[in-house]
Amino acid sequence: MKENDARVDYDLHQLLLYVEKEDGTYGPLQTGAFAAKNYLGDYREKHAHIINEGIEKMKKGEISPVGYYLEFFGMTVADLAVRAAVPVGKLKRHLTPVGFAGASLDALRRYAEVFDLPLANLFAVIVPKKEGTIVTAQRTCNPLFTIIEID
Amino acid sequence: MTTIPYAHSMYAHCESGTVAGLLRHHGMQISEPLVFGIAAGICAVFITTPKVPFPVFEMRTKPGDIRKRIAGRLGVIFTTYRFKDPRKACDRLAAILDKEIPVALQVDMFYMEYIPDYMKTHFNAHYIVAVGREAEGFIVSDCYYPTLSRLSEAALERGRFARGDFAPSGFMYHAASVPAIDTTRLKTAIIQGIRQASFTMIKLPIPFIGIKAIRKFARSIPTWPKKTRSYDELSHWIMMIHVLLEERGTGGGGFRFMYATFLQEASRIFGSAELLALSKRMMENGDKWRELSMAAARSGKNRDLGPERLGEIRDLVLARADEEERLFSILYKLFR
Repeated sequence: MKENDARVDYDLHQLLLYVEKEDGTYGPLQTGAFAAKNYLGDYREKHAHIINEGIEKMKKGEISPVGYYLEFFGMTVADLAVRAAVPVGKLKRHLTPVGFAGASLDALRRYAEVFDLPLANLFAVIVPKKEGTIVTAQRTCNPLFTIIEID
Repeated sequence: MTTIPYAHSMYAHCESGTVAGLLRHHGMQISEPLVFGIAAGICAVFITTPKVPFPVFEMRTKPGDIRKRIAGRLGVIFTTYRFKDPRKACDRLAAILDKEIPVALQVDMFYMEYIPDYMKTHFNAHYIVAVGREAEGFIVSDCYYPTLSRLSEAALERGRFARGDFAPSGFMYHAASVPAIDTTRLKTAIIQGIRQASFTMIKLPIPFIGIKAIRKFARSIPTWPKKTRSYDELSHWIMMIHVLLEERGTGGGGFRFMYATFLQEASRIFGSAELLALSKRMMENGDKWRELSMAAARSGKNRDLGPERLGEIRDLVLARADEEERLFSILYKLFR
């Protein structure tokens, strides 16, 4: 790939490509990421569908928050089960609201850790009404207690 | 509080970049493509497992192989550590950093606080280099980012002790002895690297590795509509072909540009016109991989995902398999 063909003007996501320089030698070129620049909007649109569908399903009681975040992060049951150290059968039960209600606090804490979320996020979804509102969940030393700040 | 004067630099691939960065820190002037080539980093793997949401196509060797092969072929001694106790892992890391030794860490990329949200995916075999520590965490050199990053102790602990495939188990390593490399040793290492890579690509009798993997991957593409639940999901996975080939730490063209750079460097070391010609062919091969990845991204974006279009992408991938079979056969014979 010629150096000039590889150049992408996108400071927010840089990467390194190996390209053919003008003198015919091959070497590294730091440039913007083509997909991030051109296709991130499309990705976000698709992800927004997943989020909205998931929230609707949760509201109707079709899936539990564990099922929602499983979809949110594009994970599989098998992977989540290993990462959270929960048997697959038990995890499948936790994907439904009824099964979720019977899950131990320790199992929920482990799911939250895999999703890198405070435990409180498994019980509520915060939807800001105003655009630009920043919601930050702060973990505390108490794994069962989260402080949510709204700017 | 410690900060090691480590020359942070971006590299194409986290594992080869981490190894190259550590070796350069210890005085060995070696490029990332040389590390990648000597370690036979180029590969093709196609696997399906219930642990991932979709069949996996990778164009690199198994995580960890690059470090091990560089150690064996260049005589570098890396001291490695694994831990069960996160506290001990953290203390040990801090103690080594206090001796001003940069330490490579295996982590789950998901927990790296500095990555953008769209890159948040669980991948347990990401490598970073810890180069300092502060009161609230560590300073790390992640070769996918232009500057040094800060990471809290809690995030690093979660990343180092994630469970699942390739679980890091606190794995870390640092260079203990880096010898001066003479041309004879370098030439031998390059030959070993090329021989292993070409054997893996064309001779290894495993159906999901090498050229066979590329063909398997190609033939699976037209079946993807059956594997997905919606057009959006199909579009996502088709566009992921582009991300996997170009932007997930490959240096572009599914590592082929980096391998072409390695072959060009090797041609200079050997004074070989044949290797130079092969490096050009490898670069052209990388260009074709990039063309097909761009075509896949466009198709996904435009939701142009009918059977004919998927058939075209399959054919483009099959053409790459044919060309790579020819290229690696020549390389295999060159150093047999």
